[in-house]
Amino acid sequence: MRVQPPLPDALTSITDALLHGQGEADLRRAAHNTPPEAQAYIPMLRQMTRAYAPVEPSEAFMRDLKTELLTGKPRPVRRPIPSKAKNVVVIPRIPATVGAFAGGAATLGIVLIVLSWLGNLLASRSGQTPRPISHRPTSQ
Amino acid sequence: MARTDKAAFGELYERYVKRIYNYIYFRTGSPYDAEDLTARVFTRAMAHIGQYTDRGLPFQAWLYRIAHNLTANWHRDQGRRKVIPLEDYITGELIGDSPDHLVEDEEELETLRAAVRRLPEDRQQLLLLKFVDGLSNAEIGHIMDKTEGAIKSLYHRTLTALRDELQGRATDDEDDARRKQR
Repeated sequence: MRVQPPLPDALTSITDALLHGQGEADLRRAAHNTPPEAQAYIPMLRQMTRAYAPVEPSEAFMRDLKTELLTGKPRPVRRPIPSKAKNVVVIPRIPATVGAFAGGAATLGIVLIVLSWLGNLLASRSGQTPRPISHRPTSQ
Repeated sequence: MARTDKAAFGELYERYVKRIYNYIYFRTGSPYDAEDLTARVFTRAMAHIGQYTDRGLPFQAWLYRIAHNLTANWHRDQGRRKVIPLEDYITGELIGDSPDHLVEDEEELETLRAAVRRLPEDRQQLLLLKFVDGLSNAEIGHIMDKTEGAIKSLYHRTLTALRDELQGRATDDEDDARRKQR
């Protein structure tokens, strides 16, 4: 009868088989004749291999960093672009001449309104009521 | 050799850049910080490569020690060691349009990663070096300055603590569910 390996050895063998083995056959071989306690760890170890599956850095990053290290040319630093806030009103930029023209027109409009109001005021003080504008032909 | 030959350093870079990136990525949870820190690891390695040859440590172990120190400093500076939204980076797109069972599976994996993040620093480091970088106990021993036997023993204690942590969480969740049903 083979002597079972101590638990720390069994856990290392099972982990190595999961990470570097060729599949279930290697895992069964590693777990064979190990204490049942060690085999109870297998589901958690399987999850660990999935939780920490290697990720791949971007090709651009690796290339740019190598260039920076070997030539001194600084690499472009990538950072996430903050998403646009949805409650911000974006005001389009208008040309200066258009703005000046719009300002002049608005000022002229205000001046005409004020003059019209002053004309009415003066006419009412002199006892003349301003004649309403009418397009009807007057009967004579 | 690499001290005087940039091309040789380029080869070392090609051999280790993905491993170092992976190690840092799973410690920070951010691809952007992983890129910045990986760049700093290799910049520092290039600047201090003379110290490596003098100490006689395997180059890989020396690089991982630099990565470990820089990541530890990063955590201290950020003051957010326990807040690592890995799922935002790993599964952000996956969760969007995947079947329910995949989402549940990912939730389980994130629960596991969160439990790992609650472990002491040296145990986290050991698990990442083993599962992310696939290093042997002897290689991990070089990096963590411990014997192979000590790493084997620490690995056993770490897995036991992790299992207990997960079982404790599972029991808590069941208790919460029972309380809600009442």
